[in-house]
Amino acid sequence: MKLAAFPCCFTFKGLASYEAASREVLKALGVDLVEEPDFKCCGYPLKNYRFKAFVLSSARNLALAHSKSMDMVTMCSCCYGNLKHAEHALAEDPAMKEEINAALGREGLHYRDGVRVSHFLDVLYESMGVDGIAGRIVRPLKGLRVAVHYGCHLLRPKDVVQFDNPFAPTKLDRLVEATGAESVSWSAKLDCCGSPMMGINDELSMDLTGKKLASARRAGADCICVVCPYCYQQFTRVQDMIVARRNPGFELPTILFQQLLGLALGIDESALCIEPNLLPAVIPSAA
Amino acid sequence: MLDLILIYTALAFFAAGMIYKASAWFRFSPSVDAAEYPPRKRVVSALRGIILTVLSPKVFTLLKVFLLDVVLQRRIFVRSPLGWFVHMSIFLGFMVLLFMHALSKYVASAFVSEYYSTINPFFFLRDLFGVLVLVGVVAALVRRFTRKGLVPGANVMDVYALVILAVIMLSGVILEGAKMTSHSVFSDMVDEYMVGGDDEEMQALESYWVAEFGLVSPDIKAPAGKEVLARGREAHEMSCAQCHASNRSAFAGYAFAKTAGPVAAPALDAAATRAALYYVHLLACLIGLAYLPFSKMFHVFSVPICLMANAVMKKGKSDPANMATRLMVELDACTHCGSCTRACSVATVFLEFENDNILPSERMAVIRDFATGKALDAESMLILQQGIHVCTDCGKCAEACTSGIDLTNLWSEVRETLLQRAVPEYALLTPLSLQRALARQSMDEERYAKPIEIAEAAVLAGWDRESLENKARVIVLGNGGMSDSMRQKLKHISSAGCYRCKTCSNSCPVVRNYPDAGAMLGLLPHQMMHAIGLGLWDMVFSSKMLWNCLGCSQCQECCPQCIRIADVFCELRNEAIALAGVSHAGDGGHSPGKDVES
Repeated sequence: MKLAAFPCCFTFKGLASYEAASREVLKALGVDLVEEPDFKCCGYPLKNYRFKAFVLSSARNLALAHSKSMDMVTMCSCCYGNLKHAEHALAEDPAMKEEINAALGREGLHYRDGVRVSHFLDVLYESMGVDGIAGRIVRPLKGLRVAVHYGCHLLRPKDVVQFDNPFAPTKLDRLVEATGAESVSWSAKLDCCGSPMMGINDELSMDLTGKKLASARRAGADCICVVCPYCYQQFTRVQDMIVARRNPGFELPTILFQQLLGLALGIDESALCIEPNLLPAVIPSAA
Repeated sequence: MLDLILIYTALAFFAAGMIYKASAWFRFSPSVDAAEYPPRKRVVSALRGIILTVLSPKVFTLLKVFLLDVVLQRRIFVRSPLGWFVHMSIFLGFMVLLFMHALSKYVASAFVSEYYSTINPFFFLRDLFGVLVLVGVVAALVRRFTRKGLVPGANVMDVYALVILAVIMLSGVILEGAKMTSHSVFSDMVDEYMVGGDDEEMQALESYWVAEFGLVSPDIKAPAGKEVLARGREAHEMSCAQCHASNRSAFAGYAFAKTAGPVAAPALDAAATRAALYYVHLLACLIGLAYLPFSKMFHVFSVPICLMANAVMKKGKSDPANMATRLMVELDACTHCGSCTRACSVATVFLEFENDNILPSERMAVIRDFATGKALDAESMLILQQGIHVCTDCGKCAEACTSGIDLTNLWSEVRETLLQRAVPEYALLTPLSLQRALARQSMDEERYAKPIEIAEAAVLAGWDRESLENKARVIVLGNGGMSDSMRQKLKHISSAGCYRCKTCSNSCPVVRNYPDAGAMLGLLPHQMMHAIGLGLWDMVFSSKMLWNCLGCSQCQECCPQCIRIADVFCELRNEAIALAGVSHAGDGGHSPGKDVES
């Protein structure tokens, strides 16, 4: 079965570093993903607006993957959680499934279950294993204290996404620790990054992000490590906004898990699109 | 004389049309800041910008873009090599005919001292390029009408552009073929150019032209003998060949002559027929010219300007007055080719909203009408507002645009302008508004915040007891979204599930964020569940909690009764948006494409 990379809308133009870093890491680990240029949005942003439009969007991608005998691998946690959510809703509501299929018929597609949707962390965790990853580390990130952030849609609702224990997840922590870094324990670890409120109630969004940053800092973290582009944007651009507007008195570097792993695998930091000022925070010896 | 009058009239219309269209670039703009840049200022800024660019090293960028993107049309090739071939056939064929044939007096003669349309290579090339255009036109029509997927087919303007080209080319070929068959045309040429020669020689020449060049002669019925043809060939070489190549080299006209000649020669020979064909050809050209500024063909001017301007202009760096002008050029540069819609990340949901303004290629013309102040009815405005907001700002449309339009920038400018109308936009209450928030530092604070307040007020308002019965009916019937599952979940909550343990509210990061959460949010999650169980819809829907829920599912994960609280909230938001649409239908604020009460 071919594994197709499912791209997030958000990263295409707005977060090119995300796509570049993901590609580099997968290449270095020998994970072979095919590109499917006709994948479109998972529908996540429409969920609260027109639920059926959200399900339709996901169903179209799943139907397309099915028609080409592909399984899907997402990088983004929101894409992952929402594709799973749509599958769940389609299985639960046969009437809606019928309506969705009538609509998809206009594009010559038909939704059937059976396409396996995985998050790329799962591809690393299940198929290579933590030890397999650890065996490939050439530049151990010894001494780096990382606040690991999973992102809501990777963990909850558990019965839908089935990724890890939603109250005490370990997969990402173990992968981070495979790089030689230390995963610190922090109280706001499982809370939302605040992104869904950005654009609706920005103050609330910044409150939530600020609390997470403060919690990570209290735990003595050198940086926050994220996998989801929405969370990443929140801990970078929105953190900049918080610094400018609220002056919290500190800044906490944010690194993508793809970049962190890539560094430990010995990939050049420019290929991972790591900004020069971030590097000393992650690799103390680079200072 | 008549021809000259026609030509100058067409030219006058063309010139006036061009000035009118170009003036619109400076008179209007869909930019939210357009009022700050009056036309005079924009003309001055444009001239200044052009002069400064041409005098800077950026001129090399312009040259490069002109060569690669305008002449060689790289952006089309990258999207579709077949589409490039089709477009190039029309573009190249038409340009060569324009300079070699239509403007032969001014252009071809300037380069070739002895230019005659009837000698080779010109005689052959004219047909070659004419046929090339026709092939391109037919291929374009086929492609437009056999499109698969969601990309809409041709609109009136697309068909007009292709039809006028086809009429020009076909009438030219038919006129040429008619002349080839015509005995009177042949006789006139003989009178004019034949050097000496007796009747027998003339007879031989005519036989030769009948046999070789598609001429139809009333005098010659039977095929001539070899000897006669040899003599005719001699006479042809002596008197004609110097200025008239074999009709066979003009293969399209010749094919017509050989096909139509035997059956329609007398009609084609009538001077009136040829005059009619000539005027069809000339008038088609002149109508095409006069109407060009108002047709899709205007893109031959607007697209090169757009491509070159966008290569050297950048938001935030270029003069904002020029950025406002550029938006207008961009609206004129859309050729409705459909590349953007094919690339669009959310095009699929057009199938659910049934709003064709969700498809980027279909909203460009509407935006232009809006920008130039054409009166759009309330429904069209709503369709545009909804369509342009159902967009994830992924940027794939701009990447795909063969005219190089910065579509992402255009959408965000038009969105802000539309939001100034203060008609509630519910997409602002979803993650679709994230990009807007990330760009808020470039926006006036008041202008940024107001539309969100309006949308929130619209979904919270109108829950008076009087209309409650009606609205509750809609909710319980669940016409707004996912009806069956909604009903099941509501039943679950009210009958079997929630015992108000408050675990949901205690686990909610939003509730935890406020010391006085009740005052800030209205009903807290456990109170929402209770109110739903009691059917207190006015309390449920007027609670701010609904719109400050992250959808993070902490509550749902923690609920000891396994109630899908986050899913219920999601469904309530769907209902609220659908219902707000009904409530505001009267004042032009409903969300189009959805009939909740049906």
